[in-house]
Amino acid sequence: MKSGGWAVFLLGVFLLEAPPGFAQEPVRVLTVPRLDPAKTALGKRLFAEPQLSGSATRSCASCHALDKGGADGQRTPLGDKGEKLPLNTPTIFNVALNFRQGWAGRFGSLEAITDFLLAGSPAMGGDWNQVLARLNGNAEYRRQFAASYGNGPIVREQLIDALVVYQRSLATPNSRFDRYLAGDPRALSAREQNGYVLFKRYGCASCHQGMNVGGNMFQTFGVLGNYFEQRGGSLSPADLGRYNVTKAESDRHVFKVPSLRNVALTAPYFHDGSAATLPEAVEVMFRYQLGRPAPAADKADIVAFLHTLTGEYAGKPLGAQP
Amino acid sequence: MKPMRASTRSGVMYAVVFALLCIGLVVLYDRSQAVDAVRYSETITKLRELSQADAQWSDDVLRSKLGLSLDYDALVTPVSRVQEIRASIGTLLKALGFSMSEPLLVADREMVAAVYAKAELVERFKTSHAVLRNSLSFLPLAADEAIAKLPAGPQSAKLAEEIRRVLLYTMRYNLVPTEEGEEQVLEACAATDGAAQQFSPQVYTVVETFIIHVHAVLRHHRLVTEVLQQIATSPTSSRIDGLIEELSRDFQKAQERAEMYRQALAGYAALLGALVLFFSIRLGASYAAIARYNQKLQVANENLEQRVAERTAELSGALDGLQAANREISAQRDIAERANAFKGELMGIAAHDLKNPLSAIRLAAELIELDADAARDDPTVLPVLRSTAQDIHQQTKHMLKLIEDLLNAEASEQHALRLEPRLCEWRELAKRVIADNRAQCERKGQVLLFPPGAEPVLNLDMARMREAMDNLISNAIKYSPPGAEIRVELTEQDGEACFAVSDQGPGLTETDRAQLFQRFRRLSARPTGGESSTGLGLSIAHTLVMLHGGRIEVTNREQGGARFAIVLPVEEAR
Repeated sequence: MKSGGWAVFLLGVFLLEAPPGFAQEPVRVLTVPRLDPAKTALGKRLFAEPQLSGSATRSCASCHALDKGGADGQRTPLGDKGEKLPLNTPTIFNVALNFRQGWAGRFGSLEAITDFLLAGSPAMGGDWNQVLARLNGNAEYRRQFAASYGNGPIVREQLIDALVVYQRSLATPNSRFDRYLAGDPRALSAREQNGYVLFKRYGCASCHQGMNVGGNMFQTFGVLGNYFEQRGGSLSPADLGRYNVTKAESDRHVFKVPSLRNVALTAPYFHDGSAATLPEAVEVMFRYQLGRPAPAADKADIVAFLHTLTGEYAGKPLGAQP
Repeated sequence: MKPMRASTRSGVMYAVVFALLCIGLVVLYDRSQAVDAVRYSETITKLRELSQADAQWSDDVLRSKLGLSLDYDALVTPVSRVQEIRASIGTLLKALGFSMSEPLLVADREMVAAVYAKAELVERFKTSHAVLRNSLSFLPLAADEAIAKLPAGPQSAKLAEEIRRVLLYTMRYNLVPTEEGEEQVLEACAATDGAAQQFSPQVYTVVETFIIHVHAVLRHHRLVTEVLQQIATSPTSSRIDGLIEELSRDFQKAQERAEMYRQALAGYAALLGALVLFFSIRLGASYAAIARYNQKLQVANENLEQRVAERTAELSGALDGLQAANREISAQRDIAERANAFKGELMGIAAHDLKNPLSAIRLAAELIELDADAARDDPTVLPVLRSTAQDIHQQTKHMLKLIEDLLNAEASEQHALRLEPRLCEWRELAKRVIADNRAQCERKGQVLLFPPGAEPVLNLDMARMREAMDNLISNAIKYSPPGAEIRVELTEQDGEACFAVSDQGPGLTETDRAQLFQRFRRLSARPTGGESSTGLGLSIAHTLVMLHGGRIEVTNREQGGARFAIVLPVEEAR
């Protein structure tokens, strides 16, 4: 009985931790899609266009600043009318790699969330008739849209498409970690390499995996400990996460696992922006998601590894963007 | 609008019939082509791809479960692929020419619902599986760490034993999940927890962490197992097959319909072919006949142009003659009509104007009859008889004058259109007219003056113009009192020659002016020497002058009397 039990245990361990060469790495090298350059250029212009907001003062780039890791550095952003919005701004970089969009994965496509943020939410506070009227009144925009979408007035679908194409172009390849994965062992220091090993061993990679190092599944925030109780403060509707979408009890506090690419640039962290620094965020993750203690040195190595996930945009390392 | 020629009408009819035949052909062709087999097979292919992707999806879930795949990207891709394929199937279904049947719509809806339900299950699998994997891999370490924390002692050995038991039961449950096994784990956990409470808080915390992970394993293992079972029994595959089946059924129906239309099209085409054949045979016959006639025509043609030219000339000559004759006839008809109407008027006036003198004559005759008897006995009655006879004479003269005027009027009406103008000196003509009237003038003791003046030479019908001039002069004599002075002048000014007669009569009233030249209108003035008047003279004069392209001007003179002037243009005469 006893020896049989251990055999069973060993088999379990074997299946869980498959030997090297048998399973691949949990993280994969980032690849960049080929996109229509004209639409990308048009989308880029629209992304920074304040005319798209109700007050004509805010653009997509107001929150998704490319020089701030594709986010805004705020705990939570302000809306078009200056009201406080409930959720932290996630990075716009590599957004196309997320399997669903929004913290709670409410949106099945970039088109859907773009539509929502432009005219269905207080973020931009826009109105389709107004926005399209403004754009159609601009000869330069009309010319640019006509070049990509044919003649006729600019319509909602075209505007969204141009913005989505641009968002798809916001990929950050060639991070040091990608180079390491692609076979360059010198791309990472020994400490960073150790950080990656620990990242896998502690089980961070159970959720933060795939090409986007996250963004391809849902997980309960506080699965092994009550995060919200310990965080304090009142529970906001936004804290309910995916429950707001499905109304299923099992989806309470369930969020889309965020991508860790460029994570060193996107503080503060989590849907509520409660973690100001990366070490703090790693600490929270250990306590409530992994539910286990770990030596400070291990956590520091993991933080070091996370810094290697910062990629390049337009041929330059992200942190070095002007 | 001209009436349509027969050939144009039949041409339009042929065009309409041809258009209708073409429309029929196009409609039948369209119906027979309604089913796009290429699109259909594309759709079916996409559905089969979806079916494969769905199977691969289930495989990938199991690979993740077994740890053969360390990331979930593969579990995500099929979801987006299903969305893609769904969108393209939707477009294709719409693009397929036939309308979707209700069962097809239901099958489509059910397929989509099944795929989305499965996607939801896969999400739950990923969520629980990640936790389960972490807790399972941490569990042996957690056990070791807890045991390592225990102080030496028999109680510690017992707790360590409990911890190992929990670990073993949990791992066994992980591989062979039974309700019994789960109860064993829970019992062992409770025992471990109880034993651990006798130790320090540090030790207890470590043991508690271990137990938390054991519970996580139990909970998420159960969830993963449930979800996997649901995924395994997910009806996506059968729903996709169902959709394929419904699609083929609809396609088959549409194809049968199209086949029917194709047969109809073939029949229609055969009919059209027969029509074309029939008409081409007829056309061929017509061509042969035309060729024969053409040959004859060519021969005839050689002379034709010459003949046509000749005949055209003849015809146009004849036509001119005809037109001239036509104009003549029409003019004659006008004249005849006018003359007819005029005669009617004449009859009326004659009856009226002859009635009074005739009554007077009858009265005189009766008187003579009575007086004739009396005269036999009384010779003094004879002068009365003579006087009565003189009355009759007078009345008869009056009637003769009237009839003469009437005949004149008729003549002027009938022959008015036939002036015979030639160049003449108007002054000479005027002198002759004055000479004609001098006797009557002297009889009334009037003076007729004709001072020298212009001597225009004009194109005149002398007889007619003389009549008009005579009318004016005789009127002046007639309506001027005895001993009056009548002045005739002939002048020329501004391209017009003017023959004016001024009298010393009563002049013209406003009413006179309005009816000046109307027939049978006697004006307000009365003859001063017992002359007769028919009211025709001035009208005739006016007509004659008008025919000469001139006019009669009538004015009242300041010193009394009227002035009548014939004004004629002179430039034509020159």
